Amino acid sequence: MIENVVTHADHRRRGFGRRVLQAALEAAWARGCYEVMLATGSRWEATLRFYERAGFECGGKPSSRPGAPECQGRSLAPVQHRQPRLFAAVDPGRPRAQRAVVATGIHARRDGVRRQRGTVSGLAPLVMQCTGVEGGSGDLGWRATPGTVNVRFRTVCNSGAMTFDRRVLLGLASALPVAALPGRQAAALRPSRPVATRAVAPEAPLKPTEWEAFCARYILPEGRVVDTANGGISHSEGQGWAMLCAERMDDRASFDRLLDWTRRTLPRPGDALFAWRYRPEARGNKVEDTNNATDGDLMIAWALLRAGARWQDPGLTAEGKAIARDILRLLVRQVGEDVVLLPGARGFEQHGYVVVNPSYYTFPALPVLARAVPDPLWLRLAADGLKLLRRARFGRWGLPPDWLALPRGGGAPIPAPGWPPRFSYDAVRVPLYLAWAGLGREPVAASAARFWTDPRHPSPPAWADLSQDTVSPYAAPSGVRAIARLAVARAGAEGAATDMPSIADANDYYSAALTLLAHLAWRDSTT
Amino acid sequence: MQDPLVRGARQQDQQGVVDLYRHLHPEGVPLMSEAAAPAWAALLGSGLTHVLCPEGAGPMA
Repeated sequence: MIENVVTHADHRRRGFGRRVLQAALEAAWARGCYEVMLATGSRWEATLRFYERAGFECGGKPSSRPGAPECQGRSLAPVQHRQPRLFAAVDPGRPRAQRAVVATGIHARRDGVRRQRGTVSGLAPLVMQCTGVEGGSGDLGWRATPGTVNVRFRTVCNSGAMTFDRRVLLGLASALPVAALPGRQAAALRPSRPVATRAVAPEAPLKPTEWEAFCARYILPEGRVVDTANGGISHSEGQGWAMLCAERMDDRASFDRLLDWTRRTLPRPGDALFAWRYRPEARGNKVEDTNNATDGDLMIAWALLRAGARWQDPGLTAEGKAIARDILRLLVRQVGEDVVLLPGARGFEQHGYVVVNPSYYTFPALPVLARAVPDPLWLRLAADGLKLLRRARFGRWGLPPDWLALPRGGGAPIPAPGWPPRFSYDAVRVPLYLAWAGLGREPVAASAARFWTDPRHPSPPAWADLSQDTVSPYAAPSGVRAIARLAVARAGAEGAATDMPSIADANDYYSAALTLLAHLAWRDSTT
Repeated sequence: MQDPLVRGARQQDQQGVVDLYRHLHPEGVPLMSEAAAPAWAALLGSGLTHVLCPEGAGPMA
């Protein structure tokens, strides 16, 4: 990825830009890249011609905005904000129709031919990532230090050492391309099965009896999911989980009831996110706190986007997109060098640190949201989230805590002050979402699998104290055991879905919901 | 004109980059060199991001 090509106005037309671009390409080829992308927000024809002369081809997504310059018959959308709307990944091991990704921007190929090194397990992708600092181009009236041209490019995953990035980023990328490309180019790249329906399973991913049992026990007729172990409250996360299951079961009636209650009861003023909790026993307003829970919003957006595709309902898709945009707008922050996901819009940014909930990284949802609302931030969020999970491992078993504190000035994450330093009911979802996204061999997921199968435990404990290396005096509920089965199987051990607990084994809403999700994750990570 | 020398950025280019940032964002919060030093060092040392600088009209800083 090349971005931020800047030449001082006094020093243009002297070959600085061309020479630096040439050097950047040479460096990329030398590192095994086979494609380089360049992001520009410039609307100037001269700038685009300059990049073409430097060896780049024009690509880009169609723009409905007037005044977008045309480039060889294909539109190159002007970028409205400072971050270039561009990122890409190429997996040479897959058919061409399923691999290339181009968003707004320009890309170049060495000698006009895709290069394949083939040195990394038969899969040698170049994943290019926006560094996301100062976007734009040198023709926006910027002034540069005399005599300097800055070109930055960033490559990720051109070595086997960073497979975690590669898998997720490829997932993100594969979800992005088709809608981003115009006309014939889009047709050439369109996957053999439409992306919108690719994720829809050909058969029910859950046993109908399991879904029916969940509906009967935990969903009220008006569409409210009841947390039976916590005073009958409801959460945005539970609404989202149930909506996702309803969509997967092709149960439009239940989906509509769930969505209707959520829309009516949990809206927030000023954005598309949802309040995190409904408490029926509260006096007066039963939504006492309008703060959101990011995992709930992610899950609802994911469910809406899938539902919009399944039932061909553009209204649902638009709602999902609106949530996705507001997640990026309100819930993503730069902390140190990394992008992180805030657990909620308020209350988690402290003076010296930012609190993060590792289980809110819903990795399997990110590709869907990224396709719906293309933005480089999704890519960074996924990559930096995985990097964070690799660092956020504590205690004898190397497990993530429920809540994590990230020092603003950089440095190692620590279990968040004010919360028990436990791998507990929140953090159990970390291996769930990793396995769901095909990342079950990530170190933190493998650690969870080892913890749950540690022979020193007669059965999987409900939690582990990461500072004392002690475990709960009681066993994990069935929902956690379902995740444990999934995690163990996806970490490489033998296992079968028939070993999974069922809804009938669950004593409460949370355990039942985790059971459903583990079943979905099992299905999705094997197909 | 002699072809510029294109090289990878170095730690000592930090001030030039800070100046450049200031030129690009004249209304933004001034960046302090001492605060930028660790970020610049981390950027250069990351192995993922490469900053190229040509020297055609003298060094950056």
